Amino acid sequence: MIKSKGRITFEIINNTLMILLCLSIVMPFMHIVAVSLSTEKALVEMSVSFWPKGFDSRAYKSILQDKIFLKSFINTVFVAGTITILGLIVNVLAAYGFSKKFFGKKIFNYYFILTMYFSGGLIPSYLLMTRYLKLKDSYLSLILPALVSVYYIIIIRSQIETIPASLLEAAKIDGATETQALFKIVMPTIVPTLAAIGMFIALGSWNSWFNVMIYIDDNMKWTLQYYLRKIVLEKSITSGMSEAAQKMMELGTVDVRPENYQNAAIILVALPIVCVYPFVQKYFVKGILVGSVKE
Amino acid sequence: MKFKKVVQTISYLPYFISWVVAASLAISILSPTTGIVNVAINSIFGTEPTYFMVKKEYFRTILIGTGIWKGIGMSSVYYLAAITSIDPTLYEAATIDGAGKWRQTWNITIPGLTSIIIVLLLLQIGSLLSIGFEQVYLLYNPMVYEVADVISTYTYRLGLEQAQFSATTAIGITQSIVNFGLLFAANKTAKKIAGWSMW
Repeated sequence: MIKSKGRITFEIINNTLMILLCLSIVMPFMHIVAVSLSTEKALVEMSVSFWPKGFDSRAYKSILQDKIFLKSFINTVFVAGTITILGLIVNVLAAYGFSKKFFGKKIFNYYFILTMYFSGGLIPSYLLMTRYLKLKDSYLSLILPALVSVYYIIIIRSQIETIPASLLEAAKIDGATETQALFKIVMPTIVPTLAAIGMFIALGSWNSWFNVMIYIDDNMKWTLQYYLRKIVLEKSITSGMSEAAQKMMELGTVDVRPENYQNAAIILVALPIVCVYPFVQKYFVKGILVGSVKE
Repeated sequence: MKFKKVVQTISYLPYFISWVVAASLAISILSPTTGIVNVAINSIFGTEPTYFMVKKEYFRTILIGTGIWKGIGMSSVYYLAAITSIDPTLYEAATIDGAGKWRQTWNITIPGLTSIIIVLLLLQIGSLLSIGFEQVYLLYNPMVYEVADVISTYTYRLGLEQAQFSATTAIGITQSIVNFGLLFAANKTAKKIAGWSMW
């Protein structure tokens, strides 16, 4: 195929911009890896750019042996998994209910949708969790608020409504109960939607850290993102050093700089997502389109 | 094709990492001691390293930059879906009528994108005032409070650190009302312009 001059120009500019975009994403990670593996001397000289100078993996070793890091990882898997599974169940049941006609349906509809736009805010939620439900410092304070999402209920409901009513009526005539109708007819139809929504719920709960910050005190109940925040971002008020520097002093490895520790933590916390993501990426992309553009 | 797939995979990645990781990346890169930006400036110009994160004049740029970096890949999915849903016969007809590429873009692609732009705008506008807590909270520090504070971060400090519960709840409700008002207005406008609305 002979390309016109305009086409060639376009392709050159386009490809260059795309390459620049990819570089802007890949290079920060390369730099972080480089800093986390470099020796202290190289860091002080400010000579580390994209490749480690010297090789010093003590930061990784000490994080991987850190009990809090390992427990945080397990906690995150537990909390994210629970939220995903329970959340799907709760949202599907709600959506199935909303697809039927029942007394007061309109009121409930408005009630649910209202919560999408209005919410009490941070303080009332905090007071609810800590004072009235007494769930401070418990995993439930992380799990319960994340279960119901009106947005997903609406998406699932519109998927259920595409099932022809005659199908469900035929099932009823054949003697199926509501539960059987739900499991044998509705569920198989909406499984792709559920898979997409499940992935979004899992991603959101994996990445959440703010709820840990306000509800959890016990450092054995941390999640992974909060662990990272503590290590890298939070400067301890008492000593003015970050947690990482303090940890360095505690572990006795004073010649490993806090930057090694912090950057190693960044890589280790980002690693699960980066590893899993390429495989599920196309399902995510398909999933986004389920809820948005309708042909 | 391979190149396109690789670009897509890489460009969607920042959407999936959490804001904690993204903010830590930004802070580490801009670090005055080991960050790549300062290393580069130092080796090229030989000046002293600048501590970007605490300087007021840089903070908004950092905020917007990280926001774009994180969202650009995934946002392109929406627009790509919308562009591919435009009827190709329109383009063929335009080519037959002698339209060049730029004219085709102006008259076919952009009007076709109008509906998806409005949908996304409506979805976003409902959270205009409350937006950005995670990103701002993770990136800011006391030195840049003046330029960095958004309503959500300021009320957070008021509420949970100074325990002014009534003030913060009042601010929260005002936010909700204003957001809802904006959403309502945007919805009416969208109905007039594009014939599409949220309800």
